[in-house]
Amino acid sequence: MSLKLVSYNICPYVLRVAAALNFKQIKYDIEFIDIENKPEWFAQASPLEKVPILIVDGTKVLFESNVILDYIDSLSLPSLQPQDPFERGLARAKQEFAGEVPTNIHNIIYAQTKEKFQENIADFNWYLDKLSPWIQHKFLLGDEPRLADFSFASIFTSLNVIQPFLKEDHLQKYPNIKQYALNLLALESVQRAIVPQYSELLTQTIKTVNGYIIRQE
Amino acid sequence: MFRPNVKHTLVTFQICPFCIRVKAIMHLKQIDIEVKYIEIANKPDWFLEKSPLGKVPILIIGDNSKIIFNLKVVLFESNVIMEYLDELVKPQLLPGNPVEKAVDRARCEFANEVIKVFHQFAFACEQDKFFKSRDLLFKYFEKIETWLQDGKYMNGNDLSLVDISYSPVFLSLSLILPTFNCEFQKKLPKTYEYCKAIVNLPCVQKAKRADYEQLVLNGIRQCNTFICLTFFLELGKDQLVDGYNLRNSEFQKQFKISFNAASKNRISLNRW
Repeated sequence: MSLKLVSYNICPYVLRVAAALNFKQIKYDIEFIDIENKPEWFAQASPLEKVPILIVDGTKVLFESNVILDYIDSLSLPSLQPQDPFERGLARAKQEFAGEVPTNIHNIIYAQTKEKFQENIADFNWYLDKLSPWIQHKFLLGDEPRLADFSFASIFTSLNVIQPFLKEDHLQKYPNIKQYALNLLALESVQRAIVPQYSELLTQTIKTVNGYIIRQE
Repeated sequence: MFRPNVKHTLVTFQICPFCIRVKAIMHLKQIDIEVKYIEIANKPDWFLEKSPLGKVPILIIGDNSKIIFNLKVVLFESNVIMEYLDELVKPQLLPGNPVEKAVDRARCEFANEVIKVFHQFAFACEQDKFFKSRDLLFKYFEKIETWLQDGKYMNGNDLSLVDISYSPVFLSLSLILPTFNCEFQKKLPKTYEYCKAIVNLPCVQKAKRADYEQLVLNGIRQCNTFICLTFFLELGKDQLVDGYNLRNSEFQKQFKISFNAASKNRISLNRW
C-alpha cells in the first residue's frame, strides 16, 4: 500500500496527520504544494481545495484531517481510539474541537483591527477555558498519547511562534495545559512532523500579513 | 424503539440544519431520545457552560433533571453524534472497509461546508456576497453530481450515513428551487433526483417540524436578505413584509443593491 500526504509547509492540519503517521510508524511520502498557487491536479483531487489530502495507492483520495486520522488509526494496531462508542465519540468530539483552534489562531494573525484582534483573543481564551478540565493526565486519556492528542499538537507548535508577538502568556492561567503542551512537543513523532524551517516560515507569514498583532503597542 | 440504558437528550434549535441530520438518524433507527429546544438568540447559561463550542446540537447522556450537567457526558458536533447513534443500533450506515468508510466520512464532512455556504447564500444581504456564495454552492453541487452513481442514493440503493448528512442541504434546495427560473434539473440531473429521494425519506420528513419551511422563510424575510428580494420579484410583488418597498431608495442604499441588479437577479440562478 502506498500513501502520499499532500501538504503545505506550515499547515496545522497536516502536522496532526504527519505526527500520527509517525507515531504509528506508517510509511508515507509527502508532497508539498504552494497553497497560493495550487496545481490544477490538486484542485481536481481535493473537493474543498484544502490540505491535507491522503492519496491511497495512487487512486483513492481521502480529505479532511479528522477523517484521515481515523483512517490512519485503522491501518495498524493498537488503535489509538477508545473501544467504547461513547468514549470514542467524546474523543472524536475533542478532535473536532481541536480543529477549530488553528482557524482561531489564523484569525489572530490576520486581524487588521484592534477590535477583530481582541475578539479573536477572547475566543482563544474561551477555547483554553473549555480545554482545561479535559487535561487531567499527561495526555488527554492517560499517560500515553491517543489520536485526539495529535489534533492538539499543532495548536502549541503555532502558539510557540506567535507568543513573542502577544502581550500576555495565555497559558499562564492553565499550568495543566502548559504541561500538556510540553508533553506533546516532546513527542518524537510530533517533532519529526514539524518542517525544519517552520518557525521562520510562520514568523515570516506573521510579518508579511502585518496584522494588528505586529502593530499593537 | 431502542431505549438506551441511560437517558439521552438532544439539545437543538428549531430549524438548525445540523440538528435535522441527527434527528433523521434518531427516527431512522428509532432511538428513544428526548429533544429539547433552545432559542438561538437567547442561549441559556447552562448550555454555554456545557457546550464546548457554544453550538447545537449537543447530546446529553445522563439524567437531565439536574441543572448542572457533567461535561464528561456531553457529546458535541453533529457528525460525531450521528456516528455515535449509528454505532448504537445495528446495522451501521457506514461501510466496514476502512477506505470506503473514510471516503464516506469525508463526504459527510463536505456536507458541513455545503450547509455553511447555503446559509451564507440564504442570508446574504449584500449582492456580491450573494453571488459569491451562489457560485460556490453550485460548484459544490457539481462535485456531488460526480459522486452520484446509478442507484437511488450515494452508494447505490442502500441508504448510508452520507445521505442523511445531506438531508438539510436538500430540504433547503427543494424549498428555493421551485421559486427560481433555473436549469438545475437539466445541468445536474442526478443531484436533482437525489434531492427528491432524500427529501422524501420518512426519517427526514419526521426530522423536520411540520412548519419548518415557513419558519425558514420567516427567518430569511426577517433579515431582508438578497434572496428575499428575488422571491418577491419572482412573485411579481414589490412590496415586502413590514412595509419595505423595493423601490424605496433608502432600502436599496441599506442593502447596497440597485433595483435593476435585483431584477436581473431574477435570471441569476439560470447560471445554475
